[in-house]
Amino acid sequence: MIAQLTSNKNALLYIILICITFVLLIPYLKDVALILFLSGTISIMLYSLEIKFENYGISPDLSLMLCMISLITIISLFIFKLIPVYSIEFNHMNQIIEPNVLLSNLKNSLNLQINSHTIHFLIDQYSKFINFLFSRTKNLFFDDSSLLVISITIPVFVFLILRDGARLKRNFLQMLPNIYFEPIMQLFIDIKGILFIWLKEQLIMILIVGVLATVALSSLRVPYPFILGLALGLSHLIPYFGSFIGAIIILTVILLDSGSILTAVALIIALALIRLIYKLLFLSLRSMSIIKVHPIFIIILLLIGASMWGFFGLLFTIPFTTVFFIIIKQSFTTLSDYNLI
Amino acid sequence: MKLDLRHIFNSNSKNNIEVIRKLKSTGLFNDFSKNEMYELANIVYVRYYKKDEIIFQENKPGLGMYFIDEGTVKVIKETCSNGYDQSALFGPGDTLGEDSLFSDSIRKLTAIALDDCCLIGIFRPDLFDLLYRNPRFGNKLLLKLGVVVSSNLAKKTDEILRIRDTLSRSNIIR
Repeated sequence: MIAQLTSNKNALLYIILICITFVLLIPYLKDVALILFLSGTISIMLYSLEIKFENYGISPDLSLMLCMISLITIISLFIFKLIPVYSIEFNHMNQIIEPNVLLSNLKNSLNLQINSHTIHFLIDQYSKFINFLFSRTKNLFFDDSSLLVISITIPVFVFLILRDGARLKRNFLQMLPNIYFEPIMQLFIDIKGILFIWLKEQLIMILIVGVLATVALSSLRVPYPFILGLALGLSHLIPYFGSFIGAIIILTVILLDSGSILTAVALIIALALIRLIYKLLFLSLRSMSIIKVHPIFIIILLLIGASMWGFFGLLFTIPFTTVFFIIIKQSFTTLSDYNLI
Repeated sequence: MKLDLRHIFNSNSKNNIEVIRKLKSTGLFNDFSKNEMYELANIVYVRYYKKDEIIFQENKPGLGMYFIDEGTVKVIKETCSNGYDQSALFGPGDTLGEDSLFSDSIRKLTAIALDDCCLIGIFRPDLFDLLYRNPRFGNKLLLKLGVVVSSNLAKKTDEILRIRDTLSRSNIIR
């Protein structure tokens, strides 16, 4: 009995060590983390599609092929239709975001008679911060080489996860000591269920807000409607402050580019309307609060994310952390049901 | 049982032949085709338990049922109202924990391996997944499992009637 307990402890130790190593490596392997995160997200979504195909009597292999064809079509459309638009807008936008240009544009657009050193200093700091975020971001999202790597690796990863995921999970469960077998199986189901709901909710939210914002920005003849719409959609990944951060980004760009206060006011109204529509649409979905984190904790995470990865960190630190928290929280809940914790 | 990471990338095909052999030995799935047996082998788990090892415990969440392939399993009710443990023995061909397969319930009994045992487990998530992916085969399997459950229920009913008869003969109950 003692030997068995020791071996169980060893097994648990292995699992904990693997998890800790993975978590510790994530900050250093942000590209890998991004690819794994995106592949995992897409796989979870495509898995439900694959099951739907199989439910219609299509064989598993053909279902997998259909899913992969759908994914490759979407990625191709994204690369050949959307990315060029985003890339042009982003590069142009990036050129105007220079601290000195930003400062002078802000002065001109707001028509401020700046004599105070404090205001001068604040605007200077703000422009440096924006510049810093953009400089960190341009090499992550729209760098041609990373885009190529991502567009090739993600379908491969998704294919492998869809084809072998169930087998790997099964082999992993089969290896577990008897005491952990049912609890870990239950844990997989719980985590998958929660992650699926959460990811689906986030994707629908990004899509709705992104499309509405792009339409609103195009109607108001605001420059860079696609990239700003996407930014606003993605900013809603951040709880509490997401829409505010998104609005600040858009307003900064508008004031820099056109300097029209009238457009800015019209846009604030449009963003408020989008927020209202989004709240109404998500009233039922958002009622299920999966994870509640204190705003102070979110601010700390945002600062860490932004300082490490720029805009990318600002937008994706919270989703990464949420996924991590869901796994940890559910592990405690499920394993304590089995008196293992 | 140590966590052996060497087998995580193993193909299932070799294991499946052994699993199919074990499944056939239960006698329940004789009318299943070869493909159906492979499909079934992909959703069941063969688990080995050492003597005195707990298979599942009372009041813990249950996920599925087990077919006993080898060995003897003792099932006990730890929290009996009269304060005494009650136990029953199960051997090859018997099933354990069927109630957890169909509903999200806690285990009502504790099962302990009396000697080294080999059990074949079938679990709710895999069964529901199969029902959704392949409804035709899923329903066929469900029907088979229904037969197992109803046959167990019939046995239990007979047992209760026999006990009742014995008690009434002894004038303990009317």
